[in-house]
Amino acid sequence: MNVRALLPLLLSMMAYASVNAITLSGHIVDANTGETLINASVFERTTGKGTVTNPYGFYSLTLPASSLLVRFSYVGYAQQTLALAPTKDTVVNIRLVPSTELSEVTVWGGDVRETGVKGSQMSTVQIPASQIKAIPTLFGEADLIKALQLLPGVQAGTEGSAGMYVRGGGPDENLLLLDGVPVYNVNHLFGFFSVFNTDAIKNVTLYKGSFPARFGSRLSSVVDIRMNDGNDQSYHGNVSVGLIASRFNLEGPIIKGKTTFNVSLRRTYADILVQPFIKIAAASDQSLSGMSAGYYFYDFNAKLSHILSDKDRLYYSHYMGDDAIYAGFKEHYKEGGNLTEESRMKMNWYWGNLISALRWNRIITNKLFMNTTASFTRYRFDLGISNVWEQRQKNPPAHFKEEQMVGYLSGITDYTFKADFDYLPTPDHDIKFGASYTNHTFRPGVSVAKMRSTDTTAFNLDTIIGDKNVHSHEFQVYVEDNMNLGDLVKANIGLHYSTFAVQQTFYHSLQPRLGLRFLISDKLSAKLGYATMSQYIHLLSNSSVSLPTDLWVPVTKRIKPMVSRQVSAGLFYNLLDEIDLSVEAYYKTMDNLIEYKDGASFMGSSTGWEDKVNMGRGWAYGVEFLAQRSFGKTTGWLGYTWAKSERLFDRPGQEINGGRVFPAKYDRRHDISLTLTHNLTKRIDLSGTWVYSTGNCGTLAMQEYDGLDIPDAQMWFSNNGHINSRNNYRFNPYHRLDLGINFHKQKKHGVRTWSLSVYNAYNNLNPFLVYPSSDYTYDRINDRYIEIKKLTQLSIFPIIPSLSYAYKF
Amino acid sequence: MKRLLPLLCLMALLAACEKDIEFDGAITEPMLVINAVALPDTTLSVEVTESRFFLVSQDTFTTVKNATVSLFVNGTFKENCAHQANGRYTSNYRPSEGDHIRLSVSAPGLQTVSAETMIPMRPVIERIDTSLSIPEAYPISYNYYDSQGNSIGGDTTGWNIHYKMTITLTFKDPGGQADYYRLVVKRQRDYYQEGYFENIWYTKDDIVFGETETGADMEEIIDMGTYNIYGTFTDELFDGRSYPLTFGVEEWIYVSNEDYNSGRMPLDSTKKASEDTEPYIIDLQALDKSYYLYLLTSSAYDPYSPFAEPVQIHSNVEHGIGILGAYAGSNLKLSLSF
Repeated sequence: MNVRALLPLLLSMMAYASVNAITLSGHIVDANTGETLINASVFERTTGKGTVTNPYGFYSLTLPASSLLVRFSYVGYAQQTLALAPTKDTVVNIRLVPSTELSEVTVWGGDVRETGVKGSQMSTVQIPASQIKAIPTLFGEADLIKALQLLPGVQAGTEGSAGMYVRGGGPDENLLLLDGVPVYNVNHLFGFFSVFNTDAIKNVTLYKGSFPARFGSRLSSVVDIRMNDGNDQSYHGNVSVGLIASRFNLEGPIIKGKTTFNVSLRRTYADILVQPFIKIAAASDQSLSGMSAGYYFYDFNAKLSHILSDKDRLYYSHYMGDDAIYAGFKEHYKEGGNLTEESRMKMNWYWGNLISALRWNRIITNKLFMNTTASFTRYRFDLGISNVWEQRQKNPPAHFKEEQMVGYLSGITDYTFKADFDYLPTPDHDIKFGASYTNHTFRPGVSVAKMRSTDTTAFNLDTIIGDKNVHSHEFQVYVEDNMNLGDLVKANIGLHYSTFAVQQTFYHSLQPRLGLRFLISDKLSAKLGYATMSQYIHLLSNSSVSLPTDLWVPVTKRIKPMVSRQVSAGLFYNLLDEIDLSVEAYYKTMDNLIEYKDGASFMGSSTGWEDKVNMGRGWAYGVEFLAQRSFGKTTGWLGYTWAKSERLFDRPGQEINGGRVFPAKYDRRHDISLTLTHNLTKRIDLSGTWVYSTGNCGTLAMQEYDGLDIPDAQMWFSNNGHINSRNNYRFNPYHRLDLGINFHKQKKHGVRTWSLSVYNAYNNLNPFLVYPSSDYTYDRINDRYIEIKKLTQLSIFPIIPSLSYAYKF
Repeated sequence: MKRLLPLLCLMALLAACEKDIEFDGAITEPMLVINAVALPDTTLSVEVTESRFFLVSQDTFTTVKNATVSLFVNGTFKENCAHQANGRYTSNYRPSEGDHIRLSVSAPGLQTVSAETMIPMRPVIERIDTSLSIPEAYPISYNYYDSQGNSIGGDTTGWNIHYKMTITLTFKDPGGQADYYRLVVKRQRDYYQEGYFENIWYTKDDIVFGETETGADMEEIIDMGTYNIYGTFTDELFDGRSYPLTFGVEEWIYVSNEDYNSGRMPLDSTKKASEDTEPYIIDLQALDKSYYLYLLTSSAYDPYSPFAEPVQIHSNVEHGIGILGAYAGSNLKLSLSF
């Protein structure tokens, strides 16, 4: 952007400043809890100007100094209107009261939501946490990622998994931000649950395209998750007991109206429940005594916020969560009174994230807001197994001891410093700019082996096998201006620039971003979006199931950064002031994607991974329809997606599928989802989800043939499968209905809720895997078995009812 | 184990449900399959079979006995290979290093197929170095028990020796092109069957083999290593240079008492069992790219691994399936001497 282009902008700002203008600014919070409200609307009737609050509940609106009628509103809250006649800049902090009544949001035509008809943002969906909690789920465990998977343009991959495939992209192309900090591993239990405890979450925004310039570093989506700050007036909490996990949440003021805390804990307890059974088994079988084993996962979220002054606020966010598998075994042997022998085996296997962020908000002027963040995020996988054998003899006295220990470690650690600014010079410009620096440390797979013995002649060992840590530096800078260009056109124009330095290799990328809105009528608009995105890290994984050994690696000299370019266009309509309708079409290209070479496999070690992958490209296009109602007694959405996603790996020496185009792993033509929640009475609410999608692709070897009798080999396959093309077979369509009902009752100290839900209510056997198999029948006449080949479908989730109890105080 | 792990966890968690379903895709027609490996100075043997649709149940593959197997060498037609038996065709011509070989195979009712390859030049071995170590040796003795059940040691009659031989084979790689290799270690076992060679497992310590191991005990719990079962590698790391390839053989040997006593090395090897005295044959083979890719992909082919991306086994047969590979080996013998 040159100076000439900036001139009209500067002139318009100066013109605005020269009129006697004042700035209204402040925070909008929930009246009961003091929780800041994100994207709450502020709208002035006479001028028709408005704005929304930022992720910290802050707004700033510069208006002419005259009598003003300002309305503050937020979905699910009663609106507040203030008549003001300010003569100077004024701070107006608002506490909105929650209400289920329909608010007259659009009576004044004042829908200023960025994702609504009048905003410049498209390809974006917001879901309040309350709605996520209401959706019936597998084992009754509310799950954010699974709620997102019900939106058009987002696919789940295999059933029950928390993987996300957004607009034809891969599961490692999603930037999941928890209070602005990336979360590297979003899975618990091999992907069947996600790490986000819905008790701790306030608000979720999903960006599928038209990415604002403030986001970068992933190709396909940004999921902006904000945690609850905590009630600033009184102590509240809830306890819930479910089929899989129990949860506990407590929030309240440390200093009333000033300092708050919010802590949430979730833990599965199957391992604890299983212990008595192990004990019973051990009682009947001597060899099992001293055995313990189990699996669990937990999540711990904590947030502290503190108002330092009218202008300064501090936030501290913390998350830690792990999956753990443990096993122990102890064996004791006695020979007379003279000799005792003991052997102990212990295995500890755990993996998870640790996130910490300290944030400082400062209102520099009424028009300039600053947020600085220092954060830490780490994903690590750790496996340790130890074996000890000990022998003691009394006469003659002797002691032998042997110890063996093996371990495996891998992971990624980031330290990030960033500063973001929000500058609102006039109601027609919302300028955001900022910069960040991230230091990544990639810890590739490292194995440790130790052997020690009291027997000096025995083999002693203490080695470390694996690569050294790899350090890299990522720098990002951005600027965007969300501006009104007259009444009909609104544009968010931005630039994102990033650099990445790793092992004497330097990459950089300039990424233009554009969001355009043309207002056709008060209720109808057309939007256009464009975004270039670049990604400097890859997730190595060679399974369609999320495994803890999946490894993040940086780009290298040979493996270039991935780049995506996406154009989207759509129509947005507000029906009867209640339902947001949208139709969007997109086309996306992806470059420098990686896929494993045929025959190459990766398992937990990054050694030589570059040799095992091929680079290629892909493209995806589709149309998405969404009808969403976010307030009132009945809420939910209906989504439909028509999509296509293909890959081409045809660079010389890097061919996959013979250099021919093949469908991407989760390429599906149709996806339909209907999600509804209805408050029947004050005490009962109902929810339901129905999904239908084209079957997933699978690869089948359609022909079998005689394999080569390999010279100088003891072993070879004599029955080879010939795969003419990858993903050449389509499974049967997938469809499922989930139902849920909640019964609430006011008790002395709070509200108790019984939740009953049924996953896959009509027990449809959906395909999870399809594979060839054989039956054998005995042929009496020829005295032999005859093989009958067939195709078998594996379904893993039949009808699953679940029940949970919650008490909110 | 590595592929079973997620599956096991899944199964433990859920009662999975299987059902037989109808195949509703297009049923594909059988194709001609040719399998042949061309060697210098050896007649070419070509196996011709028919592939079958994967839902067809049949114990063996149908051999094609009425095919026309035409051999072209360096662009000119040489001969039609003669049918021997059961779909096996052989040439009279013995190709040489550097020959371009093309096969065209046609059979009634099946689409005509063709495949081509180039016989590589034999690798040039420059030298071989060995070093021998004996990490373990156990005496063998007759033990007996007295009336109290105590074990009484008898005379040592011989030793079980665990030896490791590290071998460094230096060879010259031709520069400016991608070269593919395979290392084979074998021993002739005439006592077992005349002319039989037993493949000897060797440690693939050298980085070019690309094996990674997770460490001894851990493999039992989670196998995270990658294995190179055919011992193939490329010249990517040493293109155009002499390369010292390191590997090792590791075996147990029984030595009678006269040969090995009280930690002293056995003096002559004649009294060892005859199968232990056979020399190692170290065979370094230069492969053509197709054969290399076939070995790589077919070793990774695992029809019982539902979660991994299925492997497309490499084929260089146009309009058909199979492989026409080629290699040329240089070998030398290595006698074990203590």
